[in-house]
Amino acid sequence: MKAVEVSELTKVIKERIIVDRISFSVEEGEVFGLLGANGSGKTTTFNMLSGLLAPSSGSVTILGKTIKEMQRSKSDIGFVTQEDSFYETLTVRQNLEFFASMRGIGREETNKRIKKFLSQMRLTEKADVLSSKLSGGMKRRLNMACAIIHEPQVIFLDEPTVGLDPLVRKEIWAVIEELQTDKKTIIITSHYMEEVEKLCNRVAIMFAGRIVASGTSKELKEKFKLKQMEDVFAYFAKPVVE
Amino acid sequence: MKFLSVLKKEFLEIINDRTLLLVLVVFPILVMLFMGGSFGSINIRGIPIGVVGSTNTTYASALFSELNKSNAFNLQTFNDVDAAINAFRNGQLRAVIVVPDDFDRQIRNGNGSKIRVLLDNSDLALEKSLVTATSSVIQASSANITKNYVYNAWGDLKSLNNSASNLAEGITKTKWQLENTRAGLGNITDQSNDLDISSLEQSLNDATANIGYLQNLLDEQKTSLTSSSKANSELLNRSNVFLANATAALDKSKSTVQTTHDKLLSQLSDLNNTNQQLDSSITALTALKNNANDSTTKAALEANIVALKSLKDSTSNQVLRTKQEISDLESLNLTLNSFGEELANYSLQIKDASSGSNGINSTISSLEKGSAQLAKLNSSFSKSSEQVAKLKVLLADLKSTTANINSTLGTVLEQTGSFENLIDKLQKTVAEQTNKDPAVLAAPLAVEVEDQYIRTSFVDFIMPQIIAVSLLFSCLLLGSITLVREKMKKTIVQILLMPGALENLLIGKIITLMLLSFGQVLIILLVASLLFGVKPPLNLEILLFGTTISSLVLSSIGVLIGFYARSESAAVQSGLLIAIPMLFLGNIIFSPDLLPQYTQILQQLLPLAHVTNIFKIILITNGNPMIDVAALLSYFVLLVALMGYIVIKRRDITNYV
Repeated sequence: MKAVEVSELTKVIKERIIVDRISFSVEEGEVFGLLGANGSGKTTTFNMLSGLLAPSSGSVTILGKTIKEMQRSKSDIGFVTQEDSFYETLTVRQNLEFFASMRGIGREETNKRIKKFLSQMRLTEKADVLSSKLSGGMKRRLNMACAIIHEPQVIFLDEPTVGLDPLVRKEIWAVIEELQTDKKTIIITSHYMEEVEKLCNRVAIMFAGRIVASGTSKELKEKFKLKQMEDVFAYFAKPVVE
Repeated sequence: MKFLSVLKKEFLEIINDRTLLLVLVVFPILVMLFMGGSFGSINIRGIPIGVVGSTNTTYASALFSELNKSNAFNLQTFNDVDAAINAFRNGQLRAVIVVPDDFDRQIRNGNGSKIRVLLDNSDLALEKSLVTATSSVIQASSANITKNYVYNAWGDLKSLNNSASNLAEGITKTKWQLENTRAGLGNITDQSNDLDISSLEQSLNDATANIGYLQNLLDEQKTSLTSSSKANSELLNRSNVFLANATAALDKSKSTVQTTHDKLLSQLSDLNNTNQQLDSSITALTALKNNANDSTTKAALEANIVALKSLKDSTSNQVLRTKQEISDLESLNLTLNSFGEELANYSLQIKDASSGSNGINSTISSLEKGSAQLAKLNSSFSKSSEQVAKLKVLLADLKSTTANINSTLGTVLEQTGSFENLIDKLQKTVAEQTNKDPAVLAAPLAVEVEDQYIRTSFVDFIMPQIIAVSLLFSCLLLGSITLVREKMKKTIVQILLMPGALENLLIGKIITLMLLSFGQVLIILLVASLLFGVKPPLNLEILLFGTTISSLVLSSIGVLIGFYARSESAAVQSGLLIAIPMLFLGNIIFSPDLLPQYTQILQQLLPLAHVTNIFKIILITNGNPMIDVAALLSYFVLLVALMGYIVIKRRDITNYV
């Protein structure tokens, strides 16, 4: 069974086609990159895939469930937002406890998972520190932990390392790789080609609401006879001019 | 000049921020409307007032009518004080006016009456206006009552005055009658003077002298006849006839004199009785005069006494004259008796002389002389008859005058009785009126204002407002901000991804605010108690319930604002747009009863007004806040329905980020 299956997905907002009949699929355990310039429709696609935005037409199935079925349970997906979406006025542990309880996880299980994620995200020492006092990388890791405290099978990462320094970025990559080893299906958007090449099994490039190219990095470079993924990206991901 | 660039930027930001622009435009309009409306009218209108007391008696219904006429009040009548106080404590009334059951009776008796005004003194601004308004209406009624009382008293006095006038008219008539009587007595006096008794006496003296002469002649005749012969028998017969006629005339005269004598005796007796009656009247009137208090009455009585004394003097003089006449008539009677005897003797002598015949000529001459003398005697007697006729008329007048005097005395007695009654009435009326307290008559209605709520400090009566404002800002503004923060922080994304999380988020936020409200209310009550000596509320369950429903409603409004606001500043601005009208109209700054009528209607639609009322009832009046609670419950149901609709229909992430 494919983890994610998208067919003719479309989103029209105020008579403007934001996403135009895109179709793709993601295998279980695969890391899939969704690339595109600003305004290409990536975020809208992400929101539709995660159930945050209702599509105008088309279908999405996540682990065999439709969006409506997904909206009722929503336990199989995790969405790591680009901005930090945790509570800065709570400590690391308190944030994790909150999100775990909102996911309906029992107290005992919550404690186990908090321990696990604190370790995995390397936040154990900061467990009782106010989130506002964390560094940028720690905040990003906490953000990730809060988004996946319920251990979803499919994880959406929206530009997980944007604005982070190279050292921190590597830390995040390590976390993502760990998730990959846990057989999680990960869909990433990123502007960093190095990240895409390092992490993604396959990528799809969006332009003006459409997928204009998809495949592995190697396949895309060979296909368009370009040496670097940046070039491939630059070739397709021209900024949308209104 | 770089500040100009800043100025431009600031204005552009404001223009581009529609919410802020709306607030900047709408806020001053709202402030103007509400503050202008609040201060635009200084007169209270339609304040709900309860009235307890009997409304179907004269003075009470007049008082109610005055209260009803006043636009300041919206009167509701109650049969008993408890029902009115119940409504008062539940916030339905601002004051209760209690009219005592014996109100009319006390007013009629001139004792005045005290009206209780049970006042809601928790609203300081309204309290003064209410006291002023109720006092002015009650004082207006008091003035009307005084006016009516004076009119009635004047009526009584006028009635007494009319009686006195009627009596005075009667006395005037009596005086006229007395004067007429006096005039009548004067006429009698004149007639008595005309009677010329001296002439009668003279006539009778002449008659007596003539009779003596006749006696001498007859003596001569007797001597002549003794010696005369039978030839003069005719002459003797004529003499017999003459003697018979003379005897008859004499008898008639004696009878007339006797009759006149008897009448005069009777008249004398009447006059004596009249004198006695006059004495009695004078004595009675003198006593009345001495007892009278009124100078007018005294003068009238004195005049009557003088008239009666004058009448008595006239009567006494008449008695004396009548006695004299009786004496004269008795003398005349004796004389006539004597003359009768002489005539009888002469007749006998004539008889004797009839047998003789000598000296007839001298006898005839003597007899002719005797006849002449007797003719003169007859003339004297005629004059006497005329006098006697006059005397008869005099007697008739005397009778009439006596009757008039009797009648006048009767009238005087009657009027004296009326005088006594009038004086009695006058004294009673004066006593009745002067026994009353003029101060009470001038202001029969007293107002007793009873402040219903005890105040240990100024803070007591503003506690509801303090709590309401605190809940307004903590629940409404904070509620809006916290939800907006979820959107700003993008935590809303995670919330939207979790099934049922949005609903739980809203419920959690509202309940959090509700629990915070409990804390706030507790802190406020503690500080008020410790610092200002405010007593804690008696009913904690109602306090808890009131706080719960108030915070639920205000929090729900805040959360709804948070749903739509795009930023914290927009949330605050929107919150202020809603909060400020509620502050003005929610019985926080201004008393709703002092605001124009249209704002009073608007006020009922605002939740904060009901929140303030609930806490006022819980903390001050100790009544039943269920009406306001029911209003807030309705609001809450509506808000929950609206939030439910939003949660269901606005699940797209685009609505929140």
